[in-house]
Amino acid sequence: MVAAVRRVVLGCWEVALAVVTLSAVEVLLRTRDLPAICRVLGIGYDPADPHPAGDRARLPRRARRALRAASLVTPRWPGSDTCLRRCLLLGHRLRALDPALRIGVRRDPHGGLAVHSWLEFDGRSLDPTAHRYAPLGALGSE
Amino acid sequence: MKLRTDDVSVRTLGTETIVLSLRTSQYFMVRGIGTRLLELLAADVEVADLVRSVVAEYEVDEATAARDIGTFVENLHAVELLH
Repeated sequence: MVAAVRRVVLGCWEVALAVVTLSAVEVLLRTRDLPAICRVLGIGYDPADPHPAGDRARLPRRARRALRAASLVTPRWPGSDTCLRRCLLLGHRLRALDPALRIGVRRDPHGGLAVHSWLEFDGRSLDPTAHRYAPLGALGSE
Repeated sequence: MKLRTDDVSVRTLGTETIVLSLRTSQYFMVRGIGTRLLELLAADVEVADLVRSVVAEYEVDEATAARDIGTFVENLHAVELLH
């Protein structure tokens, strides 16, 4: 019983942190450039290292609460639920695990351009669709 | 003039290059000779240098190259991709 109550309280706390973090992300997206945002949030971003997405990342159990909270909050976020907002939220909440932000592009089946961002931990992607995208890198690093 | 290489991320897909401005969070797509021009703009060059390189590498006369490259460079300036 105590353990269940504790789980609920910690879950609610994580959701509250997600809301506060996403609010801060909204402000940062309107006032700073991406490298600066990543620095503020404690997320790695190295465009000079555009390696393809690796295997699926395996995160420790303690990361699950943050993942659940992000899944709960971002789809309900007013305005837009974008992969970048989700990455910045999760990257900040899991910053102790040294996340790195990646941005990639691909041609969609209709000839349009699809842009996507994802997080990597030790070179492994948190997003199972990441391998479909060619990561952006610094000029001459491809 | 020089491309703001610290402020852009790029990826070439076939004959197109996608450029992400990290300063403005805007995406741009460059095709054909534009991809080559971006490579040349990684170094500090003048429009005349670009024209010389393009005329040497592609079948285009100098006047056409100068006009088109001038427009291309103006566009890059307008979106803050050049120093």
